[in-house]
Amino acid sequence: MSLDNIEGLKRIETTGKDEMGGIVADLTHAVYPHDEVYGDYCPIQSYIDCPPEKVFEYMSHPYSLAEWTYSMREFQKVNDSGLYVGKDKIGENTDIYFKVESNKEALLVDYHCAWDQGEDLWMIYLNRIVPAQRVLNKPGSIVFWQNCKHPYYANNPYPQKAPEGRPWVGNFWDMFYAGHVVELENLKRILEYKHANNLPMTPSIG
Amino acid sequence: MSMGLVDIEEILPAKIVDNSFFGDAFKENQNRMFKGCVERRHIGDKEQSVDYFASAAKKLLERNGLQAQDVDMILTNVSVPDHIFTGSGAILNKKIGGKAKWIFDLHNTGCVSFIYMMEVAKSFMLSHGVKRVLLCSGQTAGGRIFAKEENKNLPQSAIPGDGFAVALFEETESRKVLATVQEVFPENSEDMKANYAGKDHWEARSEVGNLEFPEEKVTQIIGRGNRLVPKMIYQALKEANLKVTELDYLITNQPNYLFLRNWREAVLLPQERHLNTFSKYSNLFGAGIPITLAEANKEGKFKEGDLICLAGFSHAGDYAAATLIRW
Repeated sequence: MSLDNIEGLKRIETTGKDEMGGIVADLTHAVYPHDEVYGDYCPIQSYIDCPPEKVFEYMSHPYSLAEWTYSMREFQKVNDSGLYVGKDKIGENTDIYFKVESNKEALLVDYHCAWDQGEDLWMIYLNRIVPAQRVLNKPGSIVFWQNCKHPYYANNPYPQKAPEGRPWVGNFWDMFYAGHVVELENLKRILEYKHANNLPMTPSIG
Repeated sequence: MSMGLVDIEEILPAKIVDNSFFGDAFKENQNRMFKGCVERRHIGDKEQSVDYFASAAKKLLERNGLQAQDVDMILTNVSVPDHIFTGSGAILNKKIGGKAKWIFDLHNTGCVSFIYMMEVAKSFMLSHGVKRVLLCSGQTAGGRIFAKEENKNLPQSAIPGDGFAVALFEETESRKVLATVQEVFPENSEDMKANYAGKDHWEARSEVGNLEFPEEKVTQIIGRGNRLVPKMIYQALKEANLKVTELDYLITNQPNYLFLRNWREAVLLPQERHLNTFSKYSNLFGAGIPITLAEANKEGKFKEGDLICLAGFSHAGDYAAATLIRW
């Protein structure tokens, strides 16, 4: 395969440094519209003064969500597959189903969730924990938290399961950046407190 | 005590220079720092800033029914000075037949010198009972440095343009200055330098001088400009207890169209509300803000009550400032 057949590549062989300099200057703004940055994806991140393995231990525990999220509460085990159900207090009488999918080696903790039903967990919260020593040359962790705007945010795929008159979760997409920043701050405060005071990482709610 | 802008007058050298004067290097260059201007003016070798200032000042005084003796302070900033030893202010005082007691020839704060001079004027109104101040901004590097044979084929030589403006401020409630903020960043003070082929400007030499940004710092300087100017504008608004949505017009220094675009976006203004004279006069450095203000005033752009922000940063980011005027 030859790369020459691919339109629009910017590589040093075909795009000189001066031209590239111009392209990057044009792409660099002082500010960016919210929608351009957070319209289809919602990437946020934070430094946390707590070792990565402790962050992983806490985040991968399903009950931690009842501590650091703004509105997920009253968890119950649904079955032995790792599926839980709780109340999302942000919606009127709303059940939230979720599973934690984690990988200790890769330091990944993903939350697979959905409102109203537990068969199709389409609302996925992706988290990567990175040792700060490696990237910032200091102890602690960075948590990268991403969401993608799944088409179901626009339209509830299971309207028959929704409580009468309750606003759909997708209506809040434009607030995800702000809401998640607040929750990540909660997570940071809890983890840093536990670590600084040498407390067990297991959630106290359960 | 509040200070207001009585009137402002711009005056530009007659000599119009188009892009063809600068050779192919400018046409072909890709660096966005050195793009987008169409024409500029150049001061002639035998011309002096003070003559331009005097002519603008006389018009200004006459138009406002004032005598030269009514001015008690003169502030000047000329980028490549007429008189390195004695300064321009005293000579201007002589040329207009004035009796101004306080004269400062500023030789710093470049592109934001107009805003800095406003602050100096205001502080003397407060501390020394000064009533009327002439602020004189002159940009002369186009003709005096960049038009020279040895320099004209460098892409950056097309960017500077020359021009002059004189503003009259007095102690008044009308067109008053609501807030001014300024900040100094000493760490950036050596990132732009005049270079005379390795010699000092007082040494005998056959080469002309030039102004240089270190190549490796250009990206950082763009970043500084992107950060500093919006920061100053928002600070000034905060100090005046106003919201960014209340801004009617923005006038900044005009180094290139990228900065103009970025600053306008940062304060949520449409293009027609961010006034500039970049395409016809290019980068006027410290004279840019007052010249644009003077032209817009003549065109009758501003109506009473309009909120106008003047803002910018100088050199490679050693000074930044913003001020708000209620028209």
